[in-house]
Amino acid sequence: MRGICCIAFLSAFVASRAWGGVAINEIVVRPAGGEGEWIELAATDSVNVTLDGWTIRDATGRTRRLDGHLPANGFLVLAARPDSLRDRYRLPESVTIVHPDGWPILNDHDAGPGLPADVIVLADQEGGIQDSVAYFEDWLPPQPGQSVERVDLRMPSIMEGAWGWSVDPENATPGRANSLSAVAQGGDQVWGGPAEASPGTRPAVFTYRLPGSGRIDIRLIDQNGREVALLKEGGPSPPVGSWTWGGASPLPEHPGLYFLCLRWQGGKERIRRCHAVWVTP
Amino acid sequence: MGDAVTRWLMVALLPWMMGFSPNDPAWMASDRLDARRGAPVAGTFWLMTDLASWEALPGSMALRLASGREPSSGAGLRVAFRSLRWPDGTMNDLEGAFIFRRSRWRGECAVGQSRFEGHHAARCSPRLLIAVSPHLVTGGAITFFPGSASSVPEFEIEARGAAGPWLLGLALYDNASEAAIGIEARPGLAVIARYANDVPALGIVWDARFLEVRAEAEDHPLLGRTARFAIRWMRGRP
Repeated sequence: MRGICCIAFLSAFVASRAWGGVAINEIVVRPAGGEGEWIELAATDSVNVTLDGWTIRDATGRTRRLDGHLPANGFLVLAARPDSLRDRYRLPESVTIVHPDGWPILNDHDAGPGLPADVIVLADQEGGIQDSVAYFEDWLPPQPGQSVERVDLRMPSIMEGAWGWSVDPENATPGRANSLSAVAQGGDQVWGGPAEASPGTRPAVFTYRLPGSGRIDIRLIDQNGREVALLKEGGPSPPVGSWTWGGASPLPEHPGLYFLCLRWQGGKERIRRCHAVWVTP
Repeated sequence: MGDAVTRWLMVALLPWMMGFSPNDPAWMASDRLDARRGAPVAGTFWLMTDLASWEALPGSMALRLASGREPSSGAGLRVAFRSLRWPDGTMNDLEGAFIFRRSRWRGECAVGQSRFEGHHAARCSPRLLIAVSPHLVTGGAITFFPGSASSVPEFEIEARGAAGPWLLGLALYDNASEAAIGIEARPGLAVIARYANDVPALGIVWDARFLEVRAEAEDHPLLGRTARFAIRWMRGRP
């Protein structure tokens, strides 16, 4: 999966980002049914935020005005079809769903070679950019209705590993904490994910929580300790992130139990951790 | 010079005239270097249990129980059950092998199946070892995976030998290799150093008449420090 940090203008967005307000937290570009596309916003602080006068815009630069009220540490969903979304996920009335004028707005095909499919920019009433995210087509889950979740609101949006595909049984978590956040922040687990995976037919998401930023390798090892495949090599990583094993990555020849091993190096500190997983190629 | 070559040829060809033995040093080296993959002592009935744990897989442990009858000549059998437990689940593996042995060669055909929750994977692995001389055994194995989407089998070629107190082994796999060297430091005590897939390992084998205890440790770049411990009881050992 290509990272979301590959376009130069994003750095300008990040530089102007005002932390301590509102962040883009979850996105569904390809809905499963009638609920339409939606974006979840999350409050990053313990203060209420009024979104009157705030705007959201896409790669075309067209701006939509927002309104509504985002509770402290809570969520607000921008949706093309609020009623259908509420029915599909049985969302309580306490979760605010807003339908901005002119939706849907999100594209799911890359604009051209090296160009993202779309860009989402969230700005406050003074025009200051609060958050932004750009995504490519291959960053989107192949399964309709599965969301792209932010792993940790404290991480900058453009960091590799800051986003991943939802691992929730419902494939998305509108109006509640993201499934990847729960996995990444839970217990003492450094590296975890499903106990079985069929990456060739359905991508599997693995999450990690490390002492700091660094570089990670991910390799597949058989039960005899032999390396079967190098899945990710030496990429920079945030302290908390996710990695998706999809069909484009190397797969073992035969089904069986393998060790999916992560090696992290941050300065002089190193961590080796493996996860046993039954793989059906 | 000519006399030396003649003498060497006579010594080398002597076993072909006098006959091979299933207890030749090469077979013993094969067993010493790798109790799981080697040929057990001929003419014994044996029971073996071994444990393994991995530093990078906290809370995991593998237990293997195996038993077999290794013939001096003729047919034998081996069965093994292996269970690998880790915090998220347990994988069980059952394997059976039919063995046929003569003094100069040993063949086996093993079939096995691994199970994890609703999933399973089967394998079939014929293997042939030939004593080239009393001091060198060589051969190979091919493993098929019936039911797998890929029909590509896995290959293995191996050679193991003994020269005085020294034990030597080499195995080549599709994408890996393993070299081992050991020494019988004193009767009943062997030290083995192994280098497999860039992973160094050190093992000690203590051997009384009916009992063998084996401890091995390695430092894998990803799996971390790995410890293995095995006990084998043998009846009928010459």
